[in-house]
Parts: sequence; C-alpha cells; structure tokens
Amino acid sequence: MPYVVKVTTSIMVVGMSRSNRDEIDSELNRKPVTFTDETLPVISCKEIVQKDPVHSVSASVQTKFEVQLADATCQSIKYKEREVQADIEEKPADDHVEIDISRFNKFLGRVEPIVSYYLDDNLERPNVLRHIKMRYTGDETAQELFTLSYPDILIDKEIQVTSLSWSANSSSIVVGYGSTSHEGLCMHKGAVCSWNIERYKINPNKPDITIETSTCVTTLACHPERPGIVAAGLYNGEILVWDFREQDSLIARILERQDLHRDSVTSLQWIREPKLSKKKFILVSTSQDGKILLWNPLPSKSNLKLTDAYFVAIKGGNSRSVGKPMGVTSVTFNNEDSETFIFGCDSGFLYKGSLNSVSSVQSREEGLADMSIHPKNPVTMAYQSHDSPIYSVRFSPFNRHLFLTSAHDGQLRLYSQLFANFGRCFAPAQGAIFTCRWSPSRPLVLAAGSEHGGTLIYDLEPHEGTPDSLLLSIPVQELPSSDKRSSINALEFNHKTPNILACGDSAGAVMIWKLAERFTAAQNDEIENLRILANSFGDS
Amino acid sequence: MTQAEVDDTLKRIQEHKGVQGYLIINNDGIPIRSNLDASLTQQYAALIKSLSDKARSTIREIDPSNELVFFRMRTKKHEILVAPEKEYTMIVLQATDVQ
Repeated sequence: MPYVVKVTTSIMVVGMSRSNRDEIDSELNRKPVTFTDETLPVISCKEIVQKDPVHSVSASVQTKFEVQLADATCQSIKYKEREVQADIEEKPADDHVEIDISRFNKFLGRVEPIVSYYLDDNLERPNVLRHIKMRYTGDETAQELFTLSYPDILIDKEIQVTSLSWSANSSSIVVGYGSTSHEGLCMHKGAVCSWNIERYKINPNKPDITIETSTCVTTLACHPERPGIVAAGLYNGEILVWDFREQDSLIARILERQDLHRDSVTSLQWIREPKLSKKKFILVSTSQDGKILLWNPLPSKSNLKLTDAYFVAIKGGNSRSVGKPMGVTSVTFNNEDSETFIFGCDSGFLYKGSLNSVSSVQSREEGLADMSIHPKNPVTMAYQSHDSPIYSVRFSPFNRHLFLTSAHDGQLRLYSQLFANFGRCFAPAQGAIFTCRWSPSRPLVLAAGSEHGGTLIYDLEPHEGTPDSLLLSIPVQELPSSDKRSSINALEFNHKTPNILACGDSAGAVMIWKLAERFTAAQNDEIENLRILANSFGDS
Repeated sequence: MTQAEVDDTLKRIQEHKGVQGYLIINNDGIPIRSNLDASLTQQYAALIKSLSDKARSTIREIDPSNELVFFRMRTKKHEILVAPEKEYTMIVLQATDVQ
C-alpha cells in the first residue's frame, strides 16, 4: 500500500530594525575638561520603527514510497520413507483357471433365467423400496444442545419446571416454574422465563426474560402467530397474558373476579375462534374447578373477557358428590372440526366435548350462578377411562380421529374418537406419564415424559415380522432427565425445527435435545400407516 | 458349446437395465469372469463366497433335503443377486435407483 506523507511547512520571517544613537568615546577627547554651563536645545528625535512585511511561505512536500510487507511461512516437515509393494493383478478374473466350458455354459443357462427374472422384476417395481423401507443414515443418538436453568428460583427446592412452550417463531423456549406439591395454599413464588436458543451466545443459567409471579405457574401457552405473547395459568386460578416486547409487559388479566377459576389452571391453549372470524385466536383454559373457559385474551383495557364457559360435574355414583366439579386436566381440539374437543379429567374420565353444546349444567356448585356467562355441560361422548388422573390428551396432527392420552397409572393410550374403547395401550413401567406429545413431523412418532424413565420416544412404524401387539411396547429412544432421577414434567417439540425437543424436569432444568434424523424425516407411506392404525381400532 | 455362447449370455445379463456389473466365481472362490475392476472383484469374490457358503449351510441345516438356489440382497445403493451352484456362483450388481 502506498503511503503518502504530506509535509506542510510554514516559514515566517520577521525582520525588525531599530535606529540607535551611537556614542563615540575616543581617546582624543580625553583632555582637561572645562565645564561650561550650556543649555542645549531639546532636540526631539523621531523614532522610526521600520517594519518589514511578514513573509510567509507555504510549501508542501510529498514523498512517494510504498510500504512493503513481507510474509513468509516456514514449516519443516519430517519425511519418512517406507517402501511398499503391492501385487496388482492386471486381470480381475483368472483366465488360467481351468474351466470346462460346456459345463460352465450349462451353469449359465441354468442361472440366467432366474437372474434375468429378478433383474426385470426389480425394474418393474422400483417402489419395492417403499416396503423394504429406506433406513435412516447416521447416528441415532440424540444430541444434548443446552441444559437451561434459572438458579434464582431454584433456591426453593420444591420448584420444578411445570410447563414449556415454544414462541410463535419457534426461536424461544418459554419455561414456567412452580411446585407440584401443594397442601392447601400456595406459598411459592413462580416464574416465567424465556431463552432464545437461536442466539449466538446463550447463557443457559440466565434467561433472556424473567417475570416473577405471585404463585406457582401451572401452565403456559405462547400465541401461535404473535411472537412475544405468552399466556400463563397460575395455581390460584389466575390467567395472565404478557407481551414480552412491550415495556409494560402484562397486557391482560381477569378483572372480573366472579369469572376466575377457583382452583389451579391445568392447561391453556390458543385456538382459532371457531364461530365468528375463524382468524382471531381465543384462549381456552381448563382447571381443577371443573371449568373449561374460553377467553378473548387481547381486548382493550387489558381485561381478559370470558366469551364462553363449560362446567364438568360428577354424575352418578355417590349421591353426595353428584354435581360436584370434576377437575379438568387437559384438553385438545380437533384439527379439522374445530368445535370438537377431547378432555381428560382428574378422575381419569375421558370425554368428547363440543363448543356447540347447549345443555345446561345440573349443579348447585357455589359461584356458578354468579359467572357472567352461565356455564354449559360440554360432554357429548364418554371414552373408556383411565384408572387415575389423566395428565395429557393430544389429537394427532396428521389424523383427525386419533388421539393420545397419558395418565398417572403409567399408561399411554391411543384412541380413535369414533370408538369408546382405546385402540392401543402401553405401559412403560416408568411410573406416571406426566405428558405426551406427537412429533410434528413424523406421523408415527410420539414422545412421553415419565416419572422415572426420562423422556420416552416411541415409533409406531410397523416392522415386518413384528406382531401388532408388540407395536408399542418398547420405546425406540430414552432421553434421561438432567440429573437422571427426576421426572419429566413437560416436553414440547419445536414446530419449526422438529428435531428440537425441549424437556422440562422436576429438578428445574430444561434440556434441549437435537433428535436424530429418523425422528424427523417421515416415510412416504407414514400418514397412510397412521390411518390404517386408526381404522384398525374399530375391529378390536 | 463355445466361448462365444458364454460371452453372449454374459452380455445379455450385462445389458439388463441398471446392471452395474457381474462376477462369476468357481467353488474355490476364484473369479473366472468379471467385468468389475480388480479390487472390487477380489472383494466380492471373497466376501460373497463366504456369505453364500453360510447361507447354503443354513438352509441345509434347517432341512437337509433342501438347497439354496438364489438369494438377493437389497442395499441402499444397489441390489446384489447371487445364484450359487455347486461348481460356480454368479453375482450380479444392479442399481436400485434406476428410474
């Protein structure tokens, strides 16, 4: 690179002269002096100051030279010499081997038809691979990307991860903290934290966003289209909606106290408003108080407004308990028929409900009459129940009839909504199954969070030679919880990158896993196989 | 029964769509005819020989009166067709991704 030096020099010359009176003091003048008084006239001298003009010269100089850089690398290499000799045969086949050409020809005559037959056969059925199944390449092991933890809230040893939700753009994981053991009032502090896992630098022990809550967070749901909007249900029945992008992040809560859930909120979901606009999202909440409530979550004045209410009451059995609320723990809405939903109860009962229901509730439960909307009875059909509380109910994203349930009895079940009895049931013997989710990309893959066995991933892909009854018995992968002991309370697949799975455990950690290719790339006949599975339930 | 006939038969096999190569070995596992390159020929000859011996003995063990006639192996890249006989074994490679 040429380097230019510019020198500017200013020379200022200032000349100045002044006239001086000379005094001559010579020897000649030294003789006896006679003093006479003399008055000398005053001579005024004019001082002449001559000022020369200021000379200034400005000049610039440029030197022209290039900066020369030299770069040299030097490496010393150690050489070793080895001599190798390989016998290279020129001809692949050995012509010298004695063969009886006629017998050889007979052999060829015998095998040619069969070889030709199969060569042609293969070409006629290029899809033969569909049944043979291309196997997935590469590693089958899951890779642990991050273990997220919020140490500030985990000081309280009872605090666990209770819920997880991916933001609308699938880049952030929102984690709800709370306790699962309560005797009466909740004395814990809960929190909602968010980590952006796509950030270049992520601090697993410091969330990007933290919001503390007055009581335990029991459930979370991110808005499906607007990133930053998160709804949380609390143990005390409150529902809060935040927009993390706002300065004042709390944008809605229930202001009408009579509409509040009277027990902990068990699940929250955003669904498209099925009746009016079909575009707007509404919030559905379920609670241990037996209510399924629909909210308009983004109204003006930050008031979460009740738009519809359903109440599930105990029927039959002990006459004293009739009409008492039956805690609703989980709800799932059908993909195609948005007014149909399946919900699981604390009692283990499993029902189909409809938003079109008009039947009124027969209950004298306190507070029901005060609600701004009188609750209806949603039940339209009952399914074979679990023996203990149901924790999770999920419709398949790829089949309109199939749904999955998990319960405290340690069973995972597959139902078709057309039949009351379950179609498949499997018990991993790892304690309660706290949560279950379908893979968003592979129709036949599902994940379950167990009490003792970590996250269990099942693949319902039928294997040739395996009887159907064995179909579900063994998980294809088990992902341990953060300390290998704690239970998995929540798990969510990332919908944008379906090989990312977040698992929240009772030790308060959230593990982000990257699953192997086989859990994300669907076979081309997989949806068909799922349909066959769903249809087979009616026969059994 | 001439060399020409043998060559004709082999040519017919080679001309089937998707055929990548063939190889015939004798019962000592020595390649007799091959249009694969030298190292592949050696590998296939040795490996398929031991596999087909194993397969043959498996079938025999299950039912001594039975005999292995033919087997094929579907792989991700190609199908290997093997016709083992007492004296010779023919091995043909066919690409499976032929459209």
